[in-house]
Amino acid sequence: MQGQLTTGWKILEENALHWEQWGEQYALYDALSGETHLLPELSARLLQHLTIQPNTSGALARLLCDDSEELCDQAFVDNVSQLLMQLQAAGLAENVQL
Amino acid sequence: MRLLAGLAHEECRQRLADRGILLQTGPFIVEVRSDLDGFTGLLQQFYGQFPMVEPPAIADFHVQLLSPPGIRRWWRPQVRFLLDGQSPFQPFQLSHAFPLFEWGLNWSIAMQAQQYLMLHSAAVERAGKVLLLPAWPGCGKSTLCAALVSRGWRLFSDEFGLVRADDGQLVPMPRPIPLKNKSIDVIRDFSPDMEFGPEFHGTRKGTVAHLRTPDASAAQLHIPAPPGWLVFPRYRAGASLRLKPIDKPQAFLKLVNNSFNYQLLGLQGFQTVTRLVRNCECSILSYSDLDEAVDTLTQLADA
Repeated sequence: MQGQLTTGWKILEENALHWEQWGEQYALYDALSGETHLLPELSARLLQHLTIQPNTSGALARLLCDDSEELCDQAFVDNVSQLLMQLQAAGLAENVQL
Repeated sequence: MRLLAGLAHEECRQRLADRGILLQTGPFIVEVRSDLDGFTGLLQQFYGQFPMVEPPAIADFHVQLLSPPGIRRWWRPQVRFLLDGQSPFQPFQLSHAFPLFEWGLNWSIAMQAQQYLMLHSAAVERAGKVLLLPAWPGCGKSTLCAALVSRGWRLFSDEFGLVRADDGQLVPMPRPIPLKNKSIDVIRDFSPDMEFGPEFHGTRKGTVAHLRTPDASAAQLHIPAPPGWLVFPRYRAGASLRLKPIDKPQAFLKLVNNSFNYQLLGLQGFQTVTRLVRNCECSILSYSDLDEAVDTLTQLADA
């Protein structure tokens, strides 16, 4: 019997990302694309978790909640899913089979 | 080191027409050749206080200003700008040879000096730190730069903020400041002691007159300085003066958009801009009164 496939998220190339932090704003240079991004804190922390390992959106939401003691309700999980899609559109993350 | 002013006019004219003159303009050595009679006097007026370099020094830019051959020499005479023997622009009318030289040299630097992060910015120094005034044309950058220089700030450049990637220092490239249209009289009134060259009417940017680089700025063209302030100027007629601090991410984005070669430099560009922003106080200056603007920036530097 085949195991159930799980979809999750990963970054394209960990070593390509270069950061600068100013308070709650982050500048990010992606050496893979040559693009520069300005990210709010939540998006930056999301990407930084993905540099550690690929993960599901639910697990990522829980990690972010643990970091900040935010309420990990469905609205927050949905928000994280939206951010992941925005990061995908920006060429910073991709949706994969884990 | 011998200054260009040390050459007699005739000797200068002959050398320009023959083997050329190597001039040090900031970090660059420019080889200038020309067969134009009228050009020699203007080059001496505006670059007399700059050092000449002798062979075997190698020039960064090989520039020629030549009159085109043929009937054009007699009928509506023109001048061509050549970089490394190639002519990147259409000819200008002969009487605009000096503005063409200045614009052509700016173009050459913007195209080739990729070892620096290049900002479209005026840069002036006071108390050992550089004030950068990044702006696109029309924001009053050159006018404000000229006013500050006339009040004792050291001129780095009215056009280029040259940032060294390895240590983040600004590199001076003092040259004549081209003032356009109304700005010419504004600075004549603001600082009657500054030395202007002739007015060139009917150029592609209207009437242009150049302000001579102060001797003290030319004498320090080898001395870089760290950045201290990043001020984005906005001239608006009738606007009251306001120096408004901006946050670092906003300054970063504005600077990225202002750079000639940020994209080309890749990671080095990102690291150089972030370091610059990290080390500067960042603000937007809205102004209409030049006196107030100069006083405010000077107080900022002296604080």
